Amino acid sequence: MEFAENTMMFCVCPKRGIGKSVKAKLPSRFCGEAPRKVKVFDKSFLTLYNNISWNY
Amino acid sequence: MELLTPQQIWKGYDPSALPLCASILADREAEGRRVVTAYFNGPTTTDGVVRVFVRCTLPAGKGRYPAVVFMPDVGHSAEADVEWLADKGYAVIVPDYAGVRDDSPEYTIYPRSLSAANYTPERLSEYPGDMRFNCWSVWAEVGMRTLSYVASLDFVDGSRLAVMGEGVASAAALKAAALDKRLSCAITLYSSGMCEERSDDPNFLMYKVALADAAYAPMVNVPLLMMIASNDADGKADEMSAVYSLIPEQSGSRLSVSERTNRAIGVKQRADVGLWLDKYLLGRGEVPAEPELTASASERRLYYNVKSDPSCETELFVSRGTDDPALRNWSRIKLMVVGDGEYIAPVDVYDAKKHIYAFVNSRSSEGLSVSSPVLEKLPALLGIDETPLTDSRLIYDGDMGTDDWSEEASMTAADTLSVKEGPFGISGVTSGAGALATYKLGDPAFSGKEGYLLQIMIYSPEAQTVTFTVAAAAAGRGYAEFSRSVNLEPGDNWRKLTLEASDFKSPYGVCGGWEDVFGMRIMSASPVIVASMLWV
Repeated sequence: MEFAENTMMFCVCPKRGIGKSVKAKLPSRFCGEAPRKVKVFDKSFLTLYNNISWNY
Repeated sequence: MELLTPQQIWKGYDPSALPLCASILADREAEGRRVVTAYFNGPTTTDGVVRVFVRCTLPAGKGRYPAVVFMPDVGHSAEADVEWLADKGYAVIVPDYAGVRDDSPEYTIYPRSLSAANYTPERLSEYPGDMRFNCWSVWAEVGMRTLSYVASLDFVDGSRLAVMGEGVASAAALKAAALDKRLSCAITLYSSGMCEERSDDPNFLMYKVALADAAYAPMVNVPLLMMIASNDADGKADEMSAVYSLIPEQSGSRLSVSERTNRAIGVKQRADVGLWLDKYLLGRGEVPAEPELTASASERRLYYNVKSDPSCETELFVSRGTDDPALRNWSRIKLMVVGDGEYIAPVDVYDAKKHIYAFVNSRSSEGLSVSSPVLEKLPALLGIDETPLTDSRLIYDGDMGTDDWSEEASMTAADTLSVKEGPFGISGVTSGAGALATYKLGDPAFSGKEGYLLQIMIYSPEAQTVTFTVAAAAAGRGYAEFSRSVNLEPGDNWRKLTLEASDFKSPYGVCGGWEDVFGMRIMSASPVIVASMLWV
């Protein structure tokens, strides 16, 4: 099961709120480089936005 | 009703015949790249001409570069992909084909008669009435006119051109690969999401003959890499595989199936795009032969026979009993070597009256992964006996290895899936990225029933919250996800979790039952080990 890739990376932080800091640049899908591992603060977010990969 | 074929529609069409009248908007250099934005004349109609907006990104400095016309999916800038390709030494030209938009003044302007080419989601589900002037043919023409524009640029080597279309635009790239003789190669990413088959609609047949991917595939005459996701949520994996089978063999085209992915490129397929372009634009590297897959019966057992390039890593994936490609559990099946690059694999059949699907992936040492088309068989017709399941309540235990598991590809650079030992010598599956996923809960042979509880034995070396997310098929197309988080303590040893379907929640409700669940994802900040999953 994968997330669709044509979505932005979100940083989810309880202090700043969901989607407030939409900053974490995705590497190219073709280069084999992985995005940084992320910490997910707000689990409800995962179900709210099915197609988002998250990063921190 | 008059049926028009692609040959009739495009008869005499020459994408380089009319002047381009290009206007450069900006020409800048930053971060080692040159970016040129421009408008030029696209398709022409009686009431005006399309002004195509285009952004060219290439290495800074002087030179003539091989060029890739890249048409990303609608709403996807693909900026990182473009920059990566430019840094590899390609001029990457991204034309806008989706037309009018609110968030930017820079878009392709369509005259009134071609307003149907302005993208709206409905475009993908309605059959056009005009087979020549509709979004599908106009977007393809935008792609081919962009090739004319690209060939006119002094920083492009016009003898080395490629087109790459993603999602909606993959249909345009396929048409260009069939119609445009200037291309060195082409790539399509995912399916276009083109119209569902609705034979009650009078325009359906016209559309199918004139515009559908299958009408253009037999005309492809350049090496085309068709990349698809095995579990694409639009359920088109089989259809695209069938389209691929229509492409003439002498074109040198290949299919690449990313196993257990939904509209994403798998970990093992990441290098495909770069290697394909390197091969056909730079003359570097080799393309493995397409693996061959056949099925046969021997002593009433089902055997798959595989022939593959001996130097390649070869994997066979099989799914039993699920007809919707989006929901299939693709199990990796162990192959037995019978010769140089020849393998067989006996496969158990649990229900001979249900279809069984299979494909082979063959990956070269350079990292280019190519696939066989998806092979569909009905075991009963081959005279195969059913193998009764001894324990269908056992979904997984460590002895089963990693064959039914995958990792969330966008989270991991390499394949970090493995079997690892936890406390008391008990082993289980783990992902170095903390991103385990399986479709086995939806496998008809292992799926849950009303009243079942899901018992998971899990170990975490450190304190953390682990989130379990199940995906359940929704009425019609699409699915919903429901999550449940569990805090695991350090020194917890193995923890046995017993979960009901209703424990999994989303902001919109709770999971209604196990019957519709087809997959589960287990996300954690650091790796966990799953030793078993069973229904109790």
